[in-house]
Amino acid sequence: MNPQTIREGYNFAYLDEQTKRMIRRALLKAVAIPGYQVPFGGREMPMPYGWGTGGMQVTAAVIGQTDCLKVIDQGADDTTNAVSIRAFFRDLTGVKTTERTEEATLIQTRHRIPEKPLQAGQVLVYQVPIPEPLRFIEPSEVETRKMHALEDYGVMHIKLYEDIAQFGHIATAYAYPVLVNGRYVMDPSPIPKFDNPKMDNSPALQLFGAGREKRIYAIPPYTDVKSLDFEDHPFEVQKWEQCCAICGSAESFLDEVIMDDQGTHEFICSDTDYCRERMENLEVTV
Amino acid sequence: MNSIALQVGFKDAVTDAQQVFRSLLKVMSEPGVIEQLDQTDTLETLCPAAFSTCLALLDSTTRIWLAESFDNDSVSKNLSFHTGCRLTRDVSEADFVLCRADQLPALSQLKLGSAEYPDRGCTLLVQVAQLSDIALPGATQLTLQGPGIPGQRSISVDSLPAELTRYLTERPDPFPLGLDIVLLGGDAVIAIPRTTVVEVN
Repeated sequence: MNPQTIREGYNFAYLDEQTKRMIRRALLKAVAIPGYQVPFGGREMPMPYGWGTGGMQVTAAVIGQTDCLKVIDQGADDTTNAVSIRAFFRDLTGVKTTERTEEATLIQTRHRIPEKPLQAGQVLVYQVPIPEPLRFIEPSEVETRKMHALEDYGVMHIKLYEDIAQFGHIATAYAYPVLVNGRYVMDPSPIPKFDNPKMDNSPALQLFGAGREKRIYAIPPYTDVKSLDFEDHPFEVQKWEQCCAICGSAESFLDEVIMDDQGTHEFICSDTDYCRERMENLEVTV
Repeated sequence: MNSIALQVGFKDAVTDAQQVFRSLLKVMSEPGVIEQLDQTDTLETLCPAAFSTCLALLDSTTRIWLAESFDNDSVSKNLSFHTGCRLTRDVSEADFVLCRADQLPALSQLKLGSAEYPDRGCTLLVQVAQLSDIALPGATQLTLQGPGIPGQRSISVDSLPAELTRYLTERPDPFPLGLDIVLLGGDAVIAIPRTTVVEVN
């Protein structure tokens, strides 16, 4: 930590201590009831909803001077949202920041889980737009609460079945619902379903913050996280025929990038840290 | 006028509260793991781990119930001074219950929340004589399984009351309802949330 860099006039990590305590109590209940959405008194943050205010409040309540913070947006460390949030916490806490997944103790993410497997002791904080997986089916909060209480999740399977009836396969490609610890159906935030298997029995602690909807939920380490599916239509992740145009990886999640106005397009890794490290290793071997 | 000695709480309110919380988050998400909480001194009969936990979690929006041995001016005035927490005599409305192992309130009286809002249940803070991950002679040996535990973990709790052992093994409240229990001994802390399956060895 470098105290010289901390901006004057703000509390450590922006939030006041009373707010942090309230979020911390919600986080403890969230890990005690994996997958259950704990309501919390979400605060206004110095940016609009939809930019990660929930994730930031969770990070602010968790972060300490010895942490090393990584922030990614769609897998990339160098996009506007990631750069801004990283700068925000660097200015208001003075903690070390990094782009390397293995160096980070705390990772705030928007819509991806890093390609490199997470380790024990790491904390992954997700920014969540809509925490309720049943919301698109049932708009009433009173009703969805009741459905969670009664484990009334049949309607979720109907939604997936409608995909099969219409397209012949489950077409849901992101925010793919999961069952946590055999009890709560949970929205994993809009990560691609490619990342869903990484949540299962992860050694890292996973925390979710939804700022606008004012909900916090969590998955403790080593917890069963199962993507919903059918016996005859088992859960599958996306596959690509292409490899990454930069590092040549055939295993990572790829983004399609338009190269010019002639329709030329390429596929590149969405995880910039993973891609860069592979390039560095390739250069060494060459 | 009687004067109560106020005692120093956290030396650095912001940093210490964050460190205590991170330890609590660690033990609650990985049941059976022991963390050290020595950010405060002992407060009368309250061990450092218990005092630190109170300072990190309590404030004017939380109600706490104190068992007999802690329900004295020194403890309650110090907690009120440092946290502004509200003391309650009605254990069924307490958000936090703080007790010594030999003075458990009736567990069936504690707040459980509802099936829709199971997070509104009470957190039970129990001060025990000693905690360890290796078998202590004469102590209760527990094997824990569930979320946060790869395989199983064993812990050893000195002076764990029989009623609490029975609660943990029988789990009378069906999940998602249940008590989240934090065991505090000296400067050590272990948590056993409602999801943990407990066996006595």
